[in-house]
Amino acid sequence: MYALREYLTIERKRKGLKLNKSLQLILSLVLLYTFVTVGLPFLSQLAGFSEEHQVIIEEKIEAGAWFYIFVEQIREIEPRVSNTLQYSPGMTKVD
Amino acid sequence: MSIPSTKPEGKYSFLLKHEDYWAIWLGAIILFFSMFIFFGNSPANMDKIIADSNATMKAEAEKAPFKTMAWFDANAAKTNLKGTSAPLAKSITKYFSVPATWSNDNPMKSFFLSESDAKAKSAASAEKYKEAKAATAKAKDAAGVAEKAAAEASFKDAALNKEASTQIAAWQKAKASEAKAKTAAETKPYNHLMTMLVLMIALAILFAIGRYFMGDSVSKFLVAFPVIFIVAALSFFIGGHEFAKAWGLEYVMWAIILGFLVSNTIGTPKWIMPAVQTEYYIKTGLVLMGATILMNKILLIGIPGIFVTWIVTPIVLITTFWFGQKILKIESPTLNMVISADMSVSGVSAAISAAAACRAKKEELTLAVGISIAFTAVMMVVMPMVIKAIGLNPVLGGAWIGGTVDSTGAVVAAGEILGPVARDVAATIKMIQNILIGLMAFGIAAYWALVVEVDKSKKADLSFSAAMREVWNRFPKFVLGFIGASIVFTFIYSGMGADGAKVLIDNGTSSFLGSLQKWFFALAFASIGLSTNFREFGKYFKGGKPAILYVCGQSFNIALTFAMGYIMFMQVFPSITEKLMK
Repeated sequence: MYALREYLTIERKRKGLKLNKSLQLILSLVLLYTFVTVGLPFLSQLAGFSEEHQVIIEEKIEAGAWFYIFVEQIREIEPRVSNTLQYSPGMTKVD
Repeated sequence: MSIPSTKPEGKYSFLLKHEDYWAIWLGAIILFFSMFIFFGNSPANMDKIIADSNATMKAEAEKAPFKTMAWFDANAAKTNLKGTSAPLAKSITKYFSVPATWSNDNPMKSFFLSESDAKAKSAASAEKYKEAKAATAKAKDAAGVAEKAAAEASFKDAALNKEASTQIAAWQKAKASEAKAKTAAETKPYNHLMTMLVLMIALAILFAIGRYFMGDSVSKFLVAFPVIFIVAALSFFIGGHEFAKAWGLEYVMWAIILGFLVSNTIGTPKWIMPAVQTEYYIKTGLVLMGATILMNKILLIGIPGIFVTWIVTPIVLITTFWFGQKILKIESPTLNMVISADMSVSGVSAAISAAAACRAKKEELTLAVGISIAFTAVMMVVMPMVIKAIGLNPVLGGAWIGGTVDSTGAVVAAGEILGPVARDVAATIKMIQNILIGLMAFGIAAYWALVVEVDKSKKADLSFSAAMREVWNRFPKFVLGFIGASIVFTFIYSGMGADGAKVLIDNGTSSFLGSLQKWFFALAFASIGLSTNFREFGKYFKGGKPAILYVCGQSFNIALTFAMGYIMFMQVFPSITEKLMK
C-alpha cells in the first residue's frame, strides 16, 4: 500500500513536471510571437528606424537574405549595372 | 555520427558510406535536374531579343549622353527574359514556396490566401493600379517631349539633356510604382500548406536515400523528418513578418530559436534525433550553393570592384583571425575563423561555409551567425545615415556599404535608403564578395588540413606522399563538390555568353537552387537548435571575446574598405564612377 502510494506520488510529480515544461514551451512560443508582432515594431520606433524600415517594407526587401541569389532585387540590379557599364552613354566600353 | 554499414565492402564502397560524399551525390542529382529543366527550355526568341536589345542600347549610347527611353526599353526587354518563366520551371518551383510575408492584421495569409480574399485584395488595389498606370503614361509623355527637345538640339544643349535625363528618371520611377501596383491588383490565391506538404515528402525521400546507404534506419528518419520540417516551416513563418524582414531577422535565426525552445523546455524527444542531421543538410545545401558561385561575376564592376572585394576582404579575414589568435587569445580557433569569415566576407553564408570547412562546432556557428545578424540590423540603418550626413558620393557610399554590411539583403536595404545608384553599386559589390566564399572555404579547409589539424609529433615521420594522404584524409570532401559545382557552372556560364547565362543560369538554375537551398539551411539550423543545450552554448560567449573580435575586425574592415573604395572609385577609376552615376 505504502509502495503504491509512493509510486502514485512520484507519477503525479513527474506528470506535473512534464506539464510545467510543456507550459514553458507554449509560453515561450507565445512570447516569441508577441516579440515579433509587437516588440519589433516598437523597437523600430524606439531606435528611430521607423522611416527606414518603412522604406524596406514598401520596397519588399528581405533585409536578412544572406546570399545574393536569395535577394529578388539582384535580378534587376545586376543586368542594369552590367548594361550601364557596357553601353554607357557618351563613353567607350569598359575593359 | 552514422554507423558504418555491415554489408560486404567493395573498393569504392566508401563513396556511398560517408555523409560528405552523399552531400555531393544528392547535390549533383539536383544540379543535373535543374540543368534539364532550364537549359532545354529557353524563353521564346531569346537570342533575337538579346541581339536586338544590345544593338539598341549600343546605338542609343552612341547617340545621346544620357540613357534614352529606347535604352531603358531595351534594358527592360533583356531583363524580363527569365528561365524561371518557363511553364515546367514554374510548375516545379511553386513547391519550393515558403510562407508569405505577413503583417499583424492577418497572420494566416502567410500560409493560405483564398480565391475570395485574393479577389478582394485585387479589387482594393485596382483603383491604385489605374492611377499608377495613368501616372506612368503621363510621365512617359513628359519624358518623350523632353528627349525630343534634346534630340532637336543634337544633344548638345546641356540644360535640355539634363531635363530629358530627369524626366526619363521620373518615368522609370513611375514604371516601378506601376509594377508594384499591378502585383497588388493581380493578387493570386495560394495554398502553401499543400505545396509544403509535397515538398516535405520529397525531401524526406531524398535525404532518406543517403541515410540508408550510410547505415541508418530509414523508417526512424522518415518518422522524425516531419518534425524538423515543421520547425523549419515555422521559422519561415516568423521570419516572414514584415518587421522581422525589415530588421533583417531571417529564418536562420528563428529556426535556431524555435529549436532551442523545444530542446531547452520539454527536451528534444529521442525519436526525433535520427532526422537531426545538421551537417548533412548544410553540406548538401553548400554543394548547391557552389553552383551559384560564378567566377565570371568578379569583373562585373571592373577592377575597382576586385580591389574592394577580393583584395580588402582576404586582408581583413587574415588580420582578424591573427588578432583573435594572438591578441584576444580566443581559445577555439574554429570559433575565431567562423566569426572572422562572417564579418569580413558576407555574413551568414560565409559563416556556414567556413564552419563546414574547418569543422566548427554548431554552437560556434550559431554564435557567429547571431553576432552577425545583430550588428547587421544596426549597420544597415546607421551606415546610410552617416553617408547622408557627410554627403558622400553615392558610388563610394554604395561600395562602402557593400564591402562592410554583412548580408546581401541588408546591403540592398541600406543602399535603397541612400538612393538607386548607391543601391546598385552596394548590391554589386556584395555579390562579388559572395563569389569569394568558394575560394575562402577551400582555403580554410586546406589550411586546417595542412596546418591546424596536423599532429606535429608525427609530422617528421611522414614522407611527402604519406603527408598528402593525411591531408586528403582530413580534407572535408564535400568542399570538392562545392568547388566542383562552382567550376562546372562557371564554365557553362562562360560558354553560354553573359547574356544567355543571365537568362538560363542567373534567372534559371540559380533561382531554382536558391529556393531549395533555403529549405536545406532551415532544416540545418532547426537541427542545430533542437540539439543544443543553452547552458552549453553560453560558455562560448565567455568574456565577450567573440563580440570584441567582431567589433575590432569590423572596425578595421570599415576603415580599409572606405580607403580602398575612395582610392579606386574616386582617384584611379573616376570614369567608372561617372558611368555608374548615369
